Amino acid sequence: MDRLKEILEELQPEVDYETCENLVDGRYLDSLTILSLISEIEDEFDVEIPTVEIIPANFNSVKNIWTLIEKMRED
Amino acid sequence: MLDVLDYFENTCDKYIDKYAVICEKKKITYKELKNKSMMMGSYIQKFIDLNDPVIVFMNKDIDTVESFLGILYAGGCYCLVNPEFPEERIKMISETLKSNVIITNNENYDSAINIFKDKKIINVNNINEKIDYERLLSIKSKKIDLDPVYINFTSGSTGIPKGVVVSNRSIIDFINVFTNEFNIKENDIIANQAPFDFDVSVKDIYSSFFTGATLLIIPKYYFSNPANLLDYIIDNDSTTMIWAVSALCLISTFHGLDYKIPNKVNKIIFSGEVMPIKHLNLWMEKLPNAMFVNVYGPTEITCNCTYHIIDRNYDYNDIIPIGKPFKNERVFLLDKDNKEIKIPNLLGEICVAGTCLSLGYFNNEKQNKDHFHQNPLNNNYFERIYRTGDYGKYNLDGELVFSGRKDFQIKYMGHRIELEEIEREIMKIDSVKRCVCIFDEEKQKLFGFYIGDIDNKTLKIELSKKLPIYMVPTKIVNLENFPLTKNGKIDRKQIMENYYNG
Repeated sequence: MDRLKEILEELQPEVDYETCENLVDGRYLDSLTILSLISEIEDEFDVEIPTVEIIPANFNSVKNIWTLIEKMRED
Repeated sequence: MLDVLDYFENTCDKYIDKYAVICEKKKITYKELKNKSMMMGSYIQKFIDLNDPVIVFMNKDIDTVESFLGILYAGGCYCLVNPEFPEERIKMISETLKSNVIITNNENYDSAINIFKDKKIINVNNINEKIDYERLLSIKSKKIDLDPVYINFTSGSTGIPKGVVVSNRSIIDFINVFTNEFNIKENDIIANQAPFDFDVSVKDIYSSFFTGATLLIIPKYYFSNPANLLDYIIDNDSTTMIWAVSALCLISTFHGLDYKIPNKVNKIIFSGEVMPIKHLNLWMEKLPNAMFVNVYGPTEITCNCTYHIIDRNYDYNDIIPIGKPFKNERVFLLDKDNKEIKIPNLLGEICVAGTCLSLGYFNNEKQNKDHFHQNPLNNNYFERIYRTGDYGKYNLDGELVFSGRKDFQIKYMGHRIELEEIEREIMKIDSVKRCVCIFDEEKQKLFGFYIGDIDNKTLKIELSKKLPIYMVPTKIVNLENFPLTKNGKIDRKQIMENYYNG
């Protein structure tokens, strides 16, 4: 999860990832950032994130993104 | 027909009750749109003179389209300013335009009041005016077809954005050719991806209003939610996508086409940057009967000047040509000595002449002199050309192929960016001693390297206060020093090599 936080910090440093729970709904991450984020996650964690999973709920917090990555790893 | 409103009204008469614009929560017919725009025009005209620029300060919506047309009815020209832009940039644009009137809506009213002090701010959601037919007719009688319609700002290497002014005549010329060539008709639903401060959206808006097609506005945040985005495109029966390459790639990168296929889409016209063959193939596979077209051209020549329809039986070898000129556009290559290049595989600068040429940059004589010239091939009479700064060459089929830039301009996520503009902003930050911006085209990543006593996080935050998000480098890296070339210039190649090798 630390690596994920690092990726996020690099893409968008202006957010406190420990506490933020509305990353997408609060417009902290826009489509451009999410696009870079997904490419980085797919490279870094060797997973594929299908379209149906790219919804705000899965990206609103670091915890949720991590849960999504874990889920994709199991598949 | 003399101005874009003539074409619009002609369509309104033919397709009275057909939907002109659809967005997420609202739909409007041609008749309603015409009435609303004339009503707004009747009000706005009280505050402006003929051809005054008016800032439209809102996100894309039906209100926005009504404001554009309303401003045209009032005799002015419009400039959309994205409310999400940093305040400093908005002020720079406003200072260039010297516009006294700002049009906004409920959503952006408070921020408009804060940013545009001492200006007349009109909230479109509060206008309730009787249509003054007589006044509108009198304004119309004073117009000529060379009067401007819109001003679009692009990145400027001097650090100040440049406002490209486009006339009725150029739009009429281009949109008629464009809709004919690609068979855009009243039964089309055009799914609008591009933001309205981008000239890709000009094709969506006016292709609709010239033919009676329906403009389907896709709200920006749908692009963070690709499943919803595809549902929206499909549920609204979209037939036509005139999109930036990066937006098409966004859907393919998100594996969107594995989710659902927008089956009714029969034409995809893409531009903005070089289309990666891998992504194009994905799209073509899923839409086996659709027409795909690569179009090319900078804002200065009104949308596009060349096109190439993809031939599914041809092996492109990684390069899709930008093709041949649209009708009534002169596109040619000049070498270093201003001689025309006519044979294949020789590199030259792409130059354009014709009605498509914009009226130049607003309130910026120097840039106009630098970019719009007398055609060096013509010594006999006045023939204005635009030098694109893009290199091109002819392939063996006589079609043009894009071959890079003369300067440090890049295309990133559909945006045209001058790396020097970013560097200038970074240098304005106190503790930065030197900096260089580099774009890794293959990885589509924008880098900012700097020397100075400031951490990269703070620098990024400072920068995002001044530049639009797409101009803020994704990676900002602090270096001890910059490697230099033999000539003492910053060695960009070496910096990237060092970066990737740790």
